[in-house]
Amino acid sequence: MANLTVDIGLERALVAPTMLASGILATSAGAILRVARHKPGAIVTKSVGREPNPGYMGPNVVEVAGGYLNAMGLPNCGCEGFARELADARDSSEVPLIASVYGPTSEDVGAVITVLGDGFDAVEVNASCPHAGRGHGGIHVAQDRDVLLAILAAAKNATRRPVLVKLPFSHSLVDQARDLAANGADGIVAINTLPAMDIDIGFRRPVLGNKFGGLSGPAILPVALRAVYGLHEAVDIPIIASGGAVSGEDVVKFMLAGASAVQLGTAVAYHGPEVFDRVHRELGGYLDANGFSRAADLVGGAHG
Amino acid sequence: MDRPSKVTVTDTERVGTDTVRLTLDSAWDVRPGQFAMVWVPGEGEKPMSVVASDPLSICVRSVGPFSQSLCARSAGDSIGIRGPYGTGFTLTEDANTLLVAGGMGAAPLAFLARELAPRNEVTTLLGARTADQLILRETFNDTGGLHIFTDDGSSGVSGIVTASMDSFLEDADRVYACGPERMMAAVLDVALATDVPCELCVERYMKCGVGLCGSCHVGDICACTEGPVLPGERLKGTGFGRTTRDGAGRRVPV
Repeated sequence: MANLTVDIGLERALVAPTMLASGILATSAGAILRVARHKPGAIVTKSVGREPNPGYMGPNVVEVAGGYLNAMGLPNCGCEGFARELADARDSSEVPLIASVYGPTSEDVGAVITVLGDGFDAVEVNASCPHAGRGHGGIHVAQDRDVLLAILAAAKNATRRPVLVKLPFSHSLVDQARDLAANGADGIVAINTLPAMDIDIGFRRPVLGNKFGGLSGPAILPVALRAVYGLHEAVDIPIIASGGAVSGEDVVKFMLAGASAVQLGTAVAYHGPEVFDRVHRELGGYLDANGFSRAADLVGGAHG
Repeated sequence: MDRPSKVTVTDTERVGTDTVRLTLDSAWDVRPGQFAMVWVPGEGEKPMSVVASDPLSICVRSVGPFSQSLCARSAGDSIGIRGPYGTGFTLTEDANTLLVAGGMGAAPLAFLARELAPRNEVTTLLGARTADQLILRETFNDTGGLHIFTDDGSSGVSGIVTASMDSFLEDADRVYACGPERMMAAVLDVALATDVPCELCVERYMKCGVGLCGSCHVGDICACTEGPVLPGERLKGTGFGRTTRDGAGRRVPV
């Protein structure tokens, strides 16, 4: 079978161009280990902040055509507790861990990374949660260029490991990515969930406890694909795609658009972490059938 | 689709001083041990054990704002419900079954007792802190032998339900338990030591119910999809009985 290994600038290469997307399962060492058994290229953790956060009132998820809406509200045990989860996970897993961090200010983000120490292979700065309150950062961070670049600088200052920035879909995406690349970002992750809601017509009320949430899943794949295609033409740092991939064919599409690796989230909700086994098989099948010896050779292949 | 349906409460019955059984105008294809995500608009959404499938019913103990508001429902009121979720208990035939129920753990086990009774011997050890917190006693009385334990001795034997479990276990082919984690951990210890197959119905913060958010993990087990009913052996080495997690995911002692 073709070689699935890709290098996105971490100390270790990824054994496959796939990652567990942030926010799915990886809130604890045990959950990380469960996913790690299925050998994704990397695991991105649940976003971690400075203090423990219980998140929003439920319902926290609701299924819609083509995906899920979620409004978890960034629940996490806080960076002190999470440092222990990372340490326990690293003791028993070979899969590279990417720590997702959030915070409203550069000082917060720097402090979280410092507390997590060197328990991770890379950092993913969450600058894109579409429904986080201002106190938690999220999409507000990406909307303010000064804050975004200050957070990047603080993150780079707090660790010698690569810093990826997860950006939301917007018409400023390419400009933001250029800015970040010019200021030392080691990769761009795009996109996050799209702002969304659902209404129960029986109760005549919004379903999500937070009213508003984010749409993930196959419904947003074409949006994410277009975002990744545009980013590939704009920046030279690795692009990690996130947005509705559920199959090996979807991974191929994102790589042809310019992604070096592809995150899976809703796919795991649909099929469990076992989905990585199938996606890798399907990807290998495509590469073999089309004469590619390495998955990395797909990257950007759809650009003329 | 994982989305709530609006259902109407057709009957409410007080089954303990602070516990209410709600019967709903709905019928589910659901096995004992599986759970529902119950939504009260404006108050939140929580996992609840199913007590009966047709008509669907749930038991709620009033412990916080959400459950208080659920307990205050009257016939004709509506709630949202989605499911069923998770694994159910394994049903057997021609077996001596022992059910160990603590507090609200009696809810899924009462459902189980009714399913087991036609084809098995059913013996239930039912425990609670006080007599007025013993729920669904009549169901267990109707389905087989019932032995009651209360912490304060206000009903049945004084003491915890697991204290005299060994003698009952000698005759059991299979043990089912649901209740406080410390109680279930004690059941697990005895069952593993005596090689009696056992299944436990575990409780964790469950926010999504569909294996997405990770909040309910017991070690490497996703309790909402791989559980909540788990074979005892599966819980070995997971920290079950020692460490659980709060709503933010912090490790806290059981």
